[in-house]
Amino acid sequence: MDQWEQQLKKSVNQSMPENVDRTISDTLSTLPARKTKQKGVMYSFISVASLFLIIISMSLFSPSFASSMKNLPIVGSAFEYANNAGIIKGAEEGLVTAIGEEVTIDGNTVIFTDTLYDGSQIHIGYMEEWDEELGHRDFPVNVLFTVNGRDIGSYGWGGTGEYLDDGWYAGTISIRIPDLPDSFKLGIKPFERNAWSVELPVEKKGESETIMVNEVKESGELSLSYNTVTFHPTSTAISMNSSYPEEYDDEFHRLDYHIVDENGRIIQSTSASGSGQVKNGLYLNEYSLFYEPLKEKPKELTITPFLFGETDNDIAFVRAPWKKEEVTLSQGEVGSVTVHDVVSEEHTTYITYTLEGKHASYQSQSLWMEDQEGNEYRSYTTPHYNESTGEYRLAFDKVPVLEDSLIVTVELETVQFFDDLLITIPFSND
Amino acid sequence: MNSLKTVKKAINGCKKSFGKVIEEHKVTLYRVSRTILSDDQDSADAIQETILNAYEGIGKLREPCYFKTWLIRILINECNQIHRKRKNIIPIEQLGETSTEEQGFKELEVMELFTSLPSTESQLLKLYYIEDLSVADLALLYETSENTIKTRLRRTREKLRRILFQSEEAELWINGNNN
Repeated sequence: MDQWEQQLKKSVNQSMPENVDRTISDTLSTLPARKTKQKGVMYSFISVASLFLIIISMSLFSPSFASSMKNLPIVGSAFEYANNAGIIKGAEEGLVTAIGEEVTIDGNTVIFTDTLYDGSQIHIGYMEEWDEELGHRDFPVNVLFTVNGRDIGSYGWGGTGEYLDDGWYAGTISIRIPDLPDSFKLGIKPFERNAWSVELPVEKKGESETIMVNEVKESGELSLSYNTVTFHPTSTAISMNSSYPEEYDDEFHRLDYHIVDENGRIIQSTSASGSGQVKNGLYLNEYSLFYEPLKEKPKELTITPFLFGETDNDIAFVRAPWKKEEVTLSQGEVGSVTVHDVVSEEHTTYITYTLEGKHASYQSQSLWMEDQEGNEYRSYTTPHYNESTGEYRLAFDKVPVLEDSLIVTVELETVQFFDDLLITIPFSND
Repeated sequence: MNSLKTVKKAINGCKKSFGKVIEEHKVTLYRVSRTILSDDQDSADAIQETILNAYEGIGKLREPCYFKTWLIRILINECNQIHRKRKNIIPIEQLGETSTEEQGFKELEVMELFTSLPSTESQLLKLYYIEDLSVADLALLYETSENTIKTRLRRTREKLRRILFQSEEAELWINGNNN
């Protein structure tokens, strides 16, 4: 354990002071007695996700309900500000369902402007009022989702957004829920208290194509089963399973995948979800890996699993000031990055760059900026790849002054590829 | 008594059992609250609200084995509400108050590091180092798999290490030989 970890462990494990302990005792001593439930009540199993549906009744808060868009100021579509390649492509292909549902959350107006669903993830666009002092609320953090009014089991979601000058925050939420119908109402409500709720119409649009793979590859005690590849309009999804002895979990749970098409173009990872369990000493995992959407179905995809080393060794940072001219930064053993342009727009700074090296999916996201005071500007989105120029474009929060700001990358260690787990999947163009 | 049995009794309305399970988890509650709130009084308020809400809602808890994470989630919500209301960002100067001067300095540096991380990442890392909270508990809290939690922890640790390496003392911090 590093020293900072030891220190952190000490910091977060303080003993409880007397006044807090006293408050707890006082609170417990003043709890009213309750009528005991009858014995023998049977409870059905509920999933982990729905466990948190338990609602504490708080009659102090009166619910407010979604109203229609017609009384609202025109705020536009939140998707217009999205950096997500899937949302951009979905919007280009006309797959967006425009809506206009407003709720008031902690006094701030939130308008849900669009939904986008192509059978993979549901993307929701929303505009949220914010003020300079408080910023925008973290309202998506403490919410529950329902489908057609019913609680759902396990699901995964994430979100991002951008502050606009006119007092609005343009946000997107992306949710992955298994086994959905083609058309449904997606409900959103807070974890606790029914202070607000909204039901958004979601409609599956666009054509997806799933290719069965069903191939198993083994390397020593590690086994990978490639199940399907699905080309959605807004993403490329790969379903797979892995198994390995329990004692190798520290190493193999970090397994990542390098994917290229027949032209050597690297397909960028966007997100992943999975679950695992130990059975008879074996870790059995299921994954859904999501990659950028492809404009055309490739002739083939080659998937190579890899591991990059834990960073116990020294990390060498490589910095170069931006002088409004092309600059190349070494990324150590794996290659280099050449920055061609850095530009700032209203709220965002964009870096355009190309890569040398064969680990581009790994290299392309190891890039950020620093201002002269050492403040970092990092991107939390996947770089956009321009097929015609071979350039990557990464978006950051706006760097206030570009001149003499630093472009930063790291020297990366060589990646360990598992060639015996490699698979090339051909696709026919029927 | 078996903790699970006590939780079941609490679910069935036994006030005494509810008190017992709260007593059992009170230190964890305090530690979790301090990962969000800077002040002991705020922590006490958040825990008090948590106890009241949990007492009100425990009858609806269907799986006793999830009691701890259910309770912590209520607490985190309460802490977030207080944090939002008071804009209660942890003042650095308060962090080392119970330590010796040297330890306080180190603690300062560690907590300063966290300001470089998104709040969700620093929160997860702090929770991970709390005794009595396992990766399985975190997976339940965050409604995700243990593997995802491990991956997120690894990435956050790597990020912190990268930040550390930018300072001259970084190597000492990483290898633990800060003599």
